[in-house]
Amino acid sequence: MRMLPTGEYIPGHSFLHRLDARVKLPCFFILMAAVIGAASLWGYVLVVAVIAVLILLSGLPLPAAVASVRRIYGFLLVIFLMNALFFGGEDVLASWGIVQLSRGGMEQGFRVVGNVVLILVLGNLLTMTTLPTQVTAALASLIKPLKFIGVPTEEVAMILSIAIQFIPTLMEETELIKMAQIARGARFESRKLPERAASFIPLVVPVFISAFRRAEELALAMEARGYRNAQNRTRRKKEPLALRDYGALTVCTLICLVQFLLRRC
Amino acid sequence: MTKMSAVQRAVFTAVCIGLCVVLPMAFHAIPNAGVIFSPMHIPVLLCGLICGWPFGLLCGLAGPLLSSLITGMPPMAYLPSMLIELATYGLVSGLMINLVNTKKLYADLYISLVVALLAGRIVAGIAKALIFAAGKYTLAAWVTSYFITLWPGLVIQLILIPTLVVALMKARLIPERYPVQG
Amino acid sequence: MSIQIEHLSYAYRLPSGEKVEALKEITCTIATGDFVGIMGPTGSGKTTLLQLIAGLRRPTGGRIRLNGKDINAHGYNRNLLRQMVGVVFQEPENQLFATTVEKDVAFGLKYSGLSRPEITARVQWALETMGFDFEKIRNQSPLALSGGEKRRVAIAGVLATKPQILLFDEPIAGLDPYSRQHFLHFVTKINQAGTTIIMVSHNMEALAEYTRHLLVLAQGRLIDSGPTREVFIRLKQKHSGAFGQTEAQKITTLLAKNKLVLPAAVVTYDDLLSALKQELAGGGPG
Repeated sequence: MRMLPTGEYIPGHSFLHRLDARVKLPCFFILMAAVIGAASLWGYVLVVAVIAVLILLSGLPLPAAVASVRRIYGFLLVIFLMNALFFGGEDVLASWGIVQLSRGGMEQGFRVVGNVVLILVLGNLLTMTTLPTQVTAALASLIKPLKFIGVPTEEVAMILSIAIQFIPTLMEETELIKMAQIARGARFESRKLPERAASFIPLVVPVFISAFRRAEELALAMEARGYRNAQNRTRRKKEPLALRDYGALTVCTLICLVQFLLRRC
Repeated sequence: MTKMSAVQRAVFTAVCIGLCVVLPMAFHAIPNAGVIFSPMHIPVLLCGLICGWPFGLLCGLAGPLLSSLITGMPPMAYLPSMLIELATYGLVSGLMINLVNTKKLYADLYISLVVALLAGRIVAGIAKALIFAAGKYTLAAWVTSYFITLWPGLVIQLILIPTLVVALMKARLIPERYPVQG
Repeated sequence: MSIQIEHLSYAYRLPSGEKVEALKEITCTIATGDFVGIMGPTGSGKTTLLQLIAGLRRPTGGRIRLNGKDINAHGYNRNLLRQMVGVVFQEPENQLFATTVEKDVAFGLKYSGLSRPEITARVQWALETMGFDFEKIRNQSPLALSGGEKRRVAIAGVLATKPQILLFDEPIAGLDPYSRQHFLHFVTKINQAGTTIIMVSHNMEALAEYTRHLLVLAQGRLIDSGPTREVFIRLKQKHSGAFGQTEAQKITTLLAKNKLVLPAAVVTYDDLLSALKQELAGGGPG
């Protein structure tokens, strides 16, 4: 399916849409920690409630927010089974050789699957309310402190923003090349592994060649226009964070703290 | 590979990061493709080999991160272990290609790739065992999941990556490693 | 190998849920051995139409029949479809990947069932048709060739399967006038040998002078179709050339503005020349 330069982004004006990406990214990771830290039933109730509120705040229709969960349904089943049958926990319910269905394993299975689903939904909420360009700008901002340990943050920021700008073109080219090769009879099957790998050459080689060609053109253009290093680039003025951004950050941190306090009980 | 300017390396890295986002989507439409190997490994390894270890490292970190944030692949839950694995690939492949000097292109590439892939698996495995599943990983499970799945990935990268490097050299997009004199 | 397109539609959904209709209810028939041009503004669905005819996308509505059989029906031989229909996309040189020209051109014949010597013979024929010396070019790296050579190798790769239908997406865009001439000449020869040609182009002169029928697309709809001359004349009359007119037509308009009115049937430079000669000889039609 066609991917827009905006990825999974769904336009909107909800609270989540209006939050600054520089706050949304850390909040996401904080909430992810809260999910992983859930150790009891109340712990899970907390995070599920938080996520439900977030879905409301995002203005996104529920099916959209959980779409990707349905896609990996099979995968989740495998993870659950692997834990349930191989965990080797207490309370063995049945066993066939090395396979042991245990209560501990099933609990663990639910926990792992639950974590994956919750983090997935959190991730969706992030990607659906944030434009890719906002994401890279936020990343560039957030890595600024690394400057103190010698990381060339301006150069990294520039590379990230060039990468983002290339994505739509690369996407189009890849689609065209794929279709052209399929039209010539390319097949990506085969029993034997080396053959299977080799069958991707007609797709992978042209894609990389055309991508590197564009890169070379850009590099030449940049050098021709006197580009020397990323420090001297003119930058757009950064918008200051709003009250809601600080509020969101505080609330998320509090939620995480509560979660870890709950673990103590 | 040392003859490229800083700007060239930067832009090539940007393109590799872009491909980290684009390739999984393209392969997604092909049945069974993503299951055997992650298409994201290719641009990261290539970036390390061609542009050097700092850029390989950046590609290994930024590629999966951006891909997850923009397209949702890989799902956030798998991001940390992928980050560690791919960052190691980019870093080690870049380091190795500078250290190795057999005067034969293919030998250099194979050695660098094998070491990078092994290192990546080992580091990611250790990280997983220590951080993410503290204590619950048995040695058997670790060995199984990492080395049995290593083999197909290794074969695929060993076939695809040298082919890519040679193609890029033939197209004169990257400098020849051992230019034929005279 | 006639092509029947019946109520063909193609739509897709954006992540935001919005529906995009790339093609809406296209119906037309292309006879065997015809040379058909497809024209229309950017975004009118021309490339999508080619992709559908080549079986690279599935229509969301309607059907495409080759010699009466629906190509998207269950059980249709896809392998055969790939051999029968050849597509040359824009900048086909981007598809090259193999270590030698011979291997790249032979790629399409992998599942053709031909024997090794037969494949080599085909590859030789295809490369020679594109003006190459087989022995000189066969072992060269396709990636190291010049731009023009790359394009010809890419086209040879499509020709190698001896397709009965050839689809071209803007084949002459970006070519210098000499290469353009050369290409159109070669396409005409192939067409005369019996291959059906469908060519998307923005080049009005190429369409006017080489194609026999035209399809005009705008915003996913087929707004006109028919013999090339008639379509150009109708387009000028109904839309004042908004969807494309030849240089000769533009000159005719300019002359008319300056009180020199030529007959409406001027489409090509030849028409223009004879009309002007008539005008200068005795003035006025008839």
